[in-house]
Order: sequence, then structure tokens, then C-alpha cells
Amino acid sequence: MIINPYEVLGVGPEASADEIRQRYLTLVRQFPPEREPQRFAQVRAAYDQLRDPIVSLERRLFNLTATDTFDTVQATERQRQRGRRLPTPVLLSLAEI
Amino acid sequence: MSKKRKHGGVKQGFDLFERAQRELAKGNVKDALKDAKVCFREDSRPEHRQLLERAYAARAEQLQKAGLNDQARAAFSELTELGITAPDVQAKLPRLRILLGLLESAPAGGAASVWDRNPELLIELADQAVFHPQRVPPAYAEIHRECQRVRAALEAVERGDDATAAEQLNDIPRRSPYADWRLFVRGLSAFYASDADRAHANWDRLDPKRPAFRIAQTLLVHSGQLAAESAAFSVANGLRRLDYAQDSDPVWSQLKAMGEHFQAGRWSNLLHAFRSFCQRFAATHAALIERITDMLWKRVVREYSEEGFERLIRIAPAPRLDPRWNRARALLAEESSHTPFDTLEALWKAYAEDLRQSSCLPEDERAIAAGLVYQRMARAKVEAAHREEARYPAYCRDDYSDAPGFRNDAEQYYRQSIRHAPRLHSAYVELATLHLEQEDESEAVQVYQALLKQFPDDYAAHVWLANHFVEDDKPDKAERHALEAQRLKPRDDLTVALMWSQRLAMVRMCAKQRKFTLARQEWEALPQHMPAGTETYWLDLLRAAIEYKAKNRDEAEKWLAAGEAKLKEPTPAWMIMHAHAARFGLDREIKNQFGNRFKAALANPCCSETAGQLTKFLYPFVVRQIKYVGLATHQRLTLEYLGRCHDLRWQGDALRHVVNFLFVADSWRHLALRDRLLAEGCKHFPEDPLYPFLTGRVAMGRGPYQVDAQAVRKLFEQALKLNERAAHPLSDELIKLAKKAISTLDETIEMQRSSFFGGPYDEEDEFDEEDEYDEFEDGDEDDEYEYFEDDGDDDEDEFDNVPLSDAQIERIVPSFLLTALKRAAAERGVSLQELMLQLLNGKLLPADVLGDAGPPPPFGPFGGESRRKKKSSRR
Repeated sequence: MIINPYEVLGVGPEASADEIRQRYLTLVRQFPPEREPQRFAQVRAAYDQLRDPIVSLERRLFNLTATDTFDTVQATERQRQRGRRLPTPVLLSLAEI
Repeated sequence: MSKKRKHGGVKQGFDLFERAQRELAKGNVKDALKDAKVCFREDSRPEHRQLLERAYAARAEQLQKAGLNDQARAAFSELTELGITAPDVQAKLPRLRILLGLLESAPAGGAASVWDRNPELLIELADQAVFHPQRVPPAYAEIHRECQRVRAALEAVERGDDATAAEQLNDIPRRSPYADWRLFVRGLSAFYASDADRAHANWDRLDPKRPAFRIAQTLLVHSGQLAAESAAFSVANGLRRLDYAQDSDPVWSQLKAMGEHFQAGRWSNLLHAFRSFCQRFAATHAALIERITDMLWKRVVREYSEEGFERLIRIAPAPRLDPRWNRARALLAEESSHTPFDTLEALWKAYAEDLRQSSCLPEDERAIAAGLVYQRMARAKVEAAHREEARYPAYCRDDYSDAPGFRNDAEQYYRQSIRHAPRLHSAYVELATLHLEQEDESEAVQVYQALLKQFPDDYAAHVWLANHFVEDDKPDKAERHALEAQRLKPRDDLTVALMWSQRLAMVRMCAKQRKFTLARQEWEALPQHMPAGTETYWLDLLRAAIEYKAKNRDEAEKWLAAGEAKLKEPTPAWMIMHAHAARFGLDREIKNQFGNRFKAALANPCCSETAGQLTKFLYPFVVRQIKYVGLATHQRLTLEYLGRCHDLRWQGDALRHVVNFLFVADSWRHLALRDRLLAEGCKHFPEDPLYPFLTGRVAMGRGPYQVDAQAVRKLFEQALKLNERAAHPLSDELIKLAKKAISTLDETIEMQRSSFFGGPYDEEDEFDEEDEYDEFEDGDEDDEYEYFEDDGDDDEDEFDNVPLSDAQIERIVPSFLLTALKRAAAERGVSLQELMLQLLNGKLLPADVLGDAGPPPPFGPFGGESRRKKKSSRR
């Protein structure tokens, strides 16, 4: 079993089945089996793990390997901040008047 | 700031003038004005006057920029009272008047013409108004009004209310100085909505000289939509301000601190920081808190930190999937070897109840989750049962160990698991395995049948059931499953073997039931299911058996002759017919006829082909433990025949069948024969990988203490290498065994190198004279620790009188152990009882006797495995 199929596919633990599938298809287009057989095999194995609802649920219930690290949490928060609307004073300060 | 005069002797007026100029140039306008006033008061020459005018103008500008309009107007008033002679100050006047709001509302040709002549001033004022509304004089009502709209629009965008922002901007005329800001705000809404096209459509029209453009460029670079190098100006400062704004965010700063504590392993600090984080942001950042909690509880469980866990659960909200922390407690308990099983069970049951009651999962997932929990409990019970069984020998296991109770509990939990989650495939398989371990095949059948109701296309289940029914002599029941297996995987080796055995069994069943037409039809269909390597004369003999059963003697003998004609000697045909006579229930006369012929023929000189054919026929019966009356005799006679095969010119195929048979025949008396024939195989058929493989297996049977691991490893490597080009390649199962053997031997090599076996022996070990065992040495000739001393015969040994006979020993000791004991006894020329005595007296070590006492390996043309092992492969 792959240690972290979420990491291989690049999706979060809350990703829906549709998101997981879309991501899988994107990666397959990026790493087709005839050109990148090893990477494809990894992606496929990760997808098989996540799409089986029982395997996925078992993982969510009992797996002690955290899907997050503080780095990923911080990166997500940073991303969220970047997407956040700036306060007007901060926005205007960028003009350096 | 004024500087204190330090040196005297210089004319004050001259110094002051120069100082005032310097201060003005440096931007210290207040000090410059003070000095300039003094200079002018003392000497009102034109240069001093003009300096004073410039100082006043600069001061008015400075105060206006600082938003101190009243003071700025006062300075301007003093300037105008003074009178303006400096041309540069004259040029600044209109601008100052505008900035200070001293311009009256435009009459025709008045103020309007000033705006018209100084449009850039209007823009500057408008931009200033956006940043500092208080600096714009109240007289400019229009500017104020539009500036307020722009500010309101910006604040609406900040709130996310883009509709209101758009409304605010609608009334700003196209020619207004705020038109640029309208483009900016529209672009900003699009930017936040990730509509890059619309953002660019607006921002590409911004005036590059105005501040809105600078803001837009900085935002684009920060979001990665524009490269910093491509920006129209340096955005480094703006980016720093954005990063600072983000870093100053309280969530981010606390997150960063917690990350640092986590990395450094400062758990106390981390939990302290996390507690305040939870208290402060529970309402706004619940998802973030959940992610951190998930990370932390898994870490404390992995590291088995009970204290850390208890602290964490006091601080953090429980995960959605574990509302009362029962799951985490159970996982933590599993990590400990000291937790009583009852406690663990109670925790998992509590968690199963939590799942049932909470709405953290959808209804269908809740049931699966409960099934998984019960399956986990079942697995734990199975593991406990195995541990218990390892502690006790088989003959007293049921009386003393708790293993039966654990197995019973495991079964109940598996059934609960399946009840909650009927689609939990692994639960069925594991339950079937549990039954098979207890040799309860009927229960295993029921489980597999239940599995097929949920998973009708499960190939392994169909194969297992088909094989079970065939071996149980119910080929009609096996047929459905065999056909399903064929539908699912028609070319799989297992399917081919299964179909063959099932069709053979059908032929026999039909003949026994006297349905001879059907039997013949089944017989005629056999060739299409025949695996490669099957002897065609077997079909002739099978047909002969059908005809004998149908009392068509002439027809039968015709088929018999056809079969015999394909052989060099008819000996194998007679043995096979003798077997068929038993299995088909033929008349005693026919059975005895073939039996006698077979026994008489065995007295003939040995023949390679005959030996090969005899063993080839018997092999699947022995491997799969399929019994028939007379099988033991056939085995015995064949082994005796093989024992007489000296100086024989072996054919390749024949020798392969013979050595395969000898490996599974479980005959310790013929080990020397097996080894001899293996050596002949290695010598005469060096290209065949089977012989080095089997030689290696034999060598490994000596155990890790006596095996020459390096040499044996080379044998397996040689087998794998030869297998690449072999005419008779090893099966996948044997290849796996060879690779596993290499891995085991690597560990053995490592072990043999360690100090325990080959390194320097530390005399200050447990056998030291001064250790705790001294108390037993003083004149006590029955000392139980004499076992460790090499003292040869010991007549007073307490174990002299072993009450068990050979037969009792054979009954008690497990068969795989018995094989090794019998072999050791044969090698030493002693009985089993004597061997046991030597072991118990310490004259022999267990290591000298026991080696790899596992079950025989699977190999042979049918790819068959021992029945015991086949059970495990069906699982």
C-alpha cells in the first residue's frame, strides 16, 4: 500500500470522489503508461486505493499517518491569505504615497 | 532639529543663512524657516527674503501633506503677507492655493480656468483624497463626494460586496479624475474573483503614473500573474508590505510558532500555543483546528505518549470521526503491549456505538465503518489466538491455552462485521481462513457461499469451492463454480487444472452412478480441458475403466491395449487400472487382476520411463491428499521400486517426476535416495533449474545453525538464472519460494556472522561460575542445569525413564516436527524414543535435530500443492 495516496495524487483528505477522479485523469494525461510507466503505476495504485470506498474509509478511520504536516497546513493558510481580500488601508499602502 | 552651536567666532548671520539653506535642502523645513526668519530680521537683503519665501512655501506644502491644513494656510498667509519675489515660489502659488483650498468656486474664467490650466493638480488632489481624505480642503465638495464613493467602493470590495462597489462607481463621470480609480476597483473585484481576463481588461487601461497602477502591478506580481521583472517598476517594497501584512496576521503568526515547536519537539510549548489558538479561533478557523488536531493526535498515538494524549484531548475539540476520542484511545491502547484485551475491546465497542449514534458519516459509510471496527477486533483476537498457540504444544493446547476462546470471539466479531458491512470482502476471506485453520471446511464453504452472494464474480472463491467439492467427490456441485472460474479467467493455470480435475471427477461420478452414456460423453469432452503434459494413455485407461464398469469387457480391453501400447512397459497402466478399480468400484476380480499384474511387473528390471510414469500418476494424489483404497500400497511399492533404481540412465522428464514425488512422499526412509537422485539430476541435467532449487531446499532443511548459507544461496541463484532459459521452467510459486529463500539465507548469513554464533564468546555470560546458579552446584548431582555442561553420560539424570513409546511419540508430536525427528533418528540409527531421551538428557541439542520443519514445497506438473497449503492458498 502506498503510504500516502493523497500526496501522490495531490489532493487533500477532504477531496470528493469526483475531484479525485479528475485529478487522476489529469495525472494520467501527464504521465501516460507508455512514456512514464513507473509514475503511472504509482498514480494508478494511489487512485485504486482512494476510489475504493472501503479502503478509503479504512484509511480515514485507522491510519496513523497524518495526511498533513505543519508545512502543508501553513502552505494552505498562506494560500488562503493570498486569496483573501486585503483591508483597504493595506491595499492603499502598496502605492507608497 | 536645531543643532546647538559648538564653535564661536563666526558671523551669526552668515552661518544662519547657510544653515537655513542646508536645512531646507535636507527637508528640515521647520528649522530652515526659523533660521530664515532670523536671517531676514537681521538683514533683509534680497537673498534672505527669497530664502524666507521658499521656506514659507515649503512649510505650507509640508503642513498640507501632513494634513494640517489650518497651519498650512497660516504659513501660506504669512507668505502672501511677506510678498513673493522668488520666481520659483511664484510658480508654486497656484498649486498651493488649490491644495490649501484657497481657490474660490469657479466663476467663469476664474477657478475653472485654473483647473483647466492645471489638470495634473486635480488628479494629484483626487489621488491624495483617496489616500488622505482629510487633507483635501472642504471647499472642493465635488472632489470629496467622488472620493467618498471611491472609498466606499473599495470598502465594499473588501467586504466581498462587489455589487455595492459597482453601484458606488456608476455615477463617476468618464472625465472625472476618479475614472482611473473606477477602473481600478472594477479590476480589483475581478482579481479577487479570479477572473484574470476581466481584471486585465480594466487594469490595462490604468494611468501608469498614478497610484492605482502601482497597486495593481504589485497585486499581479504577488499573485504570480506577472513576473516581477516584467513589472513597470520595482514592486519589492509593495511585496514586503504584503508579506508583512500576512505575517502579522494573528492566525499565521501563531501557526508559525506552533510549527516551530512541533519541529523542535517542544510538546509542552506546542500544546500551550495550540490551546490559546483553539480558544481564540474556534469560531472562525474550525477546519484549520481540525487539521492540526488530526496531525497531533496521530503523532502522540504513534509515539505512544499517554500524557501527551491526555493533554491534547483536554485542549482540542474531538475529531468529527471520533466524537468521544474512543477510536484514538483504542489505537493508543493497541500500541501498548500492556493494555488488557478487555480494555481494548471495550474501547472499540464504544467507538462502534459512537459511529452508530453520530452523524459524522453518511448512513451507508456508518455501517461500513462499524464493520471495519468489528473486523479490527476480530483480527486482534486472531492474533491473540496465534500467540497463545505458539506458547503451548498442540497436545495440551486446548486444555491450557485461551486460544479456543479467542478464536470463538474472533468468529463472532467477523460475523458482526459482515452483518454491518455485507460488502466487506476481506471479512469473509478472513472468517473462512479462521475456519480452515480449525479444519472446519463445512463452515468455510458456507462463508465462501455467502461471499459469492455479495461478490458473484469472485474468482478465488469459485476456485476454492470447486476444488473443495471435487475433492469431496461432489463434482456436480463443483461444476457451477468451475464454469464460473472458466468464465472469469479462462486461461489461468488454476482454471485449467480445476476444469480438468472437475471433468475427470464427473466422468467417475457418472460411471459410478451407472450413467455410462453420460460418462462416455464426459470422457469425449475431456481432451479440450486437458492440461499440457497430461499423458494421453490416461484417457485410454479411463475409458477402459468406464467400459469395465459397464461390463463391456471386450471394449474395455481394447482401450486397455491402446493405453498399454503407448508405454514401454505396461507396469504403470496396471497400477493406474488398479487405482481405477478402487475408485470406480469395479469388480473384485478385475481389481485383483490388475493388482497382481502390477506387483509382478515391479519385479522386472527397473526402467526410467516406468519410474517416471508411476510417480507422475501418484504425485497429485499425494500432494492433495486424495485418498483411495490401495494408495498407500502403491506408494510403498513405488518407493521400493525406486529404491532399486541404481545405475539407471535417467530420462529428463522421468527423473523430474521421480524427485518431485520423493519430496512430497513424506518418507524419511528414502531421504538418501532423494538426495542421490538430486545429485544425479544436477550432474546429468545441469540446465534444469529444478535440481539446484530442490538441493537448496534440502540443505535449508538442516536449519539455520547447520546450513552452509553461502553455498545454498548460490544454488538458488543458479536455479533462478537457469530458469530464464529452461525448457521446463519453475512455476511462479517456486520462483517466489526461491527468492524468499535467498532473502532468508541473507538473514542467516548475517546471523551466523554475529557474536552469538561465530564471534568471540564472552565467558562472563550466564554460565559464569559466580552467577546466581551457584546454589544448585553444591553436591547436587541432579542439578537441572547440568544440561549446559558437557559431562557425557549421566546415569543419575532425572529424565532416564521416559514413559512414552515410539507410537505415543508419533501420536503426540506434530507431523512436521515428527518428520525431522524421524530423519534424525534414522541418521543416528536409533529409535524415536532413544532420540527423545538424548534430547531430554542434553546429549543432543534441539538445533542438532530440528531444522526447517515446515511443510513440503509445492511443485510438479499439476502445480499442485499440499492440501494443507492449498487451504491457505484458497484463502
